[in-house]
Amino acid sequence: MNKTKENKFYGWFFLSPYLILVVLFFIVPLLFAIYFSFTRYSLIWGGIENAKFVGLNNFKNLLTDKTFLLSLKNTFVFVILSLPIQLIVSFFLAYFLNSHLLKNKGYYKTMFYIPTLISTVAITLIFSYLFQSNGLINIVLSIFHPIEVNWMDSVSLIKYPVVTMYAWIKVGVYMLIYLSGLMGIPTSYYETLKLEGGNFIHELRFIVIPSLRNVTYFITTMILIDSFKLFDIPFIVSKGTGGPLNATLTTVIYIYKSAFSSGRMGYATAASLILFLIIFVIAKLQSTVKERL
Amino acid sequence: MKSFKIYFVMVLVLLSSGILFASGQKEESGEKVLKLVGWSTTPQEKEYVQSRIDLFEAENPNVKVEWEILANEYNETLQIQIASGKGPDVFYLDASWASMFIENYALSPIDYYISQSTIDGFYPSTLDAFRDDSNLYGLAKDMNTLVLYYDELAFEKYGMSVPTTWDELLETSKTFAAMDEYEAGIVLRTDFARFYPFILQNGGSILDEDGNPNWTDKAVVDAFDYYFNDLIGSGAAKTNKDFNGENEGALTTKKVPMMISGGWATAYLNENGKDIEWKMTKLPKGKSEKTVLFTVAYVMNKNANDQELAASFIDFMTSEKSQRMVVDSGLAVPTRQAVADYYIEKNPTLGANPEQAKNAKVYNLGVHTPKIADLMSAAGDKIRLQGMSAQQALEEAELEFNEYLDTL
Repeated sequence: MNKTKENKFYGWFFLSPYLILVVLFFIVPLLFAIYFSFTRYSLIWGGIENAKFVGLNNFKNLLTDKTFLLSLKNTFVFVILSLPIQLIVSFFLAYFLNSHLLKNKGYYKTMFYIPTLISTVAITLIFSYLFQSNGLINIVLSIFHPIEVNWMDSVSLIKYPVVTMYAWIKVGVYMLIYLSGLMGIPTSYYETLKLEGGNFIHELRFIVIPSLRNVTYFITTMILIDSFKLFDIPFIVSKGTGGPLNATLTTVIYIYKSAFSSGRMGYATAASLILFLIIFVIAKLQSTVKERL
Repeated sequence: MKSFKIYFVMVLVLLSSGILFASGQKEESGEKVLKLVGWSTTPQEKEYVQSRIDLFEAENPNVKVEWEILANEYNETLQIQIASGKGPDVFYLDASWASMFIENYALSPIDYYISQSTIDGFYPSTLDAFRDDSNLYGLAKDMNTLVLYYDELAFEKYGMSVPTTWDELLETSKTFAAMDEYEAGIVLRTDFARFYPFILQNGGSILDEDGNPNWTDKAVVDAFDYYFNDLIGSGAAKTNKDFNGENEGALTTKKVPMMISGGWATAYLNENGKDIEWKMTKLPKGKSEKTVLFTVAYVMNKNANDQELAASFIDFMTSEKSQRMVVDSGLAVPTRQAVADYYIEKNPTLGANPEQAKNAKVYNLGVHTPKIADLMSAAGDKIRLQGMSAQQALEEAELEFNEYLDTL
């Protein structure tokens, strides 16, 4: 065996653990998922040989399934609300932490990051107390106008506590990514701007935002993908129902319920493929837009 | 390079032989392994089940029972285990899920192995959910019915009588709700399982004999009206959502003097209800005295290795002797009629729970139970949160259910 061949062999050999894992836990399940989406199958039927081929029926039924379409609508609402909140809050937290005037940065960094480490169940419980009819949020809002609504039991309002909780958990991670981006901006840029008489707005517009373009793209993609897969918070808040009146029913909760409560694994897999396609198209669009800017 | 290849092949051979050796070990020893999957709500329950398993193993020295406790997502994990091609030999199954497992042929009948006299010893309603037209698939390990809990001190203080009919329940609740001391007369949950007894008591049924939805029937609509408009809508009752999800907690913290829950609530009330004098009684009756019964059975997987052994284990775990131990442990209500008297003797204040079993309908509406429960709960929410009429809410629910059936 010559040197080139030997190098290739070692290359593939050392890659093989990763490749085997990718094939076993990503490629094979994906192929199975595609297969199941064309079948009628319940997990308790046993092995996949029991799945019955139904062609495009699952997809046809899904496109006229009002509950599925509502779950998609809810998911889009959660994405639209979550994206700007998480993006802006994490950016300004990072900007605040990057300030030269700030002391004890480690303390603040830890404080902002801690929600990421707390159990979602505990956070949900705390927020449920905050947003109940006699909770702290209503007490504060009552300073401006008397309010007694139970946010957690309101079809029109429950999305806001969910989005708030979600942002509270997630911004710590994105803040750190933004912070690493901010720390990578050469100080000479700021010094030049100062010499030119630039202010805070100029700093943001001409230095910070353009320098963080790639970081923002990355974080936006992460938030989009993550929000489309939103599951745990609305699931815990609604005790697995997606209620009240399907107001917190995200597509992933719908998929979960179809697969396990209704025993419709084929149908659920078809729904998950549709969700995958939506995320894929949006991520692709986002990348195209970024390249043209 | 050559030595490297030899080394690589040797590692593979060693790994494969290790796996093969490990998988063949138990068969060689001649010991039969029976795998049980269930859940455990308290350390006492875990201890009790383990003690029964130990006794079974002592009586069957060549059998080893492996008990796996699934702490979360029980049904989901179980389904995945079965999908993997094997799953446990015996497992707990809640009545509300039984039809799904039976109709999808995931269970083996047990009546081939269990005597008729044994089967006749159970409250018939506890076994209803675990039957199809020809076979029985499980034996219920314990049960609970929905009952009315109240704070006796509150009733004595204001000289009130405990309600026994719907009218009395409404009047009593309104009276307490009007007092500054209480936020409402009773706390009610809004999930279907909790208001289902009111539909039954009003003579309504969810599915007709052919399995079609029967939801716009007057008896069903009137029951919804009573529960969501007369009780909740009038302020006589508040929902557990008004107390941050707390049902039992609303009673123990004296926010309400009455609540509806199952027999399982006694553990919570014993622990947290020190400031009240809680008592249990039958649900106030409508046109009849019906209530809903919740039960869990030991069932046998269709893939069980030794079905005779699995059936004998189920028989052992639900035997009269075992159920007496359940009573002694104070964990649950026995499902065998012969032990009911013993339960009442040991728990004289909790008699309403087993007494109602005779008039109870098990919580199982067939293979679509989870979907029906979702739609009925949503109908209740439409009345409660959107002010929709019961008739319209139920018409919409029925339409949605029929659309769902069309997609199957």
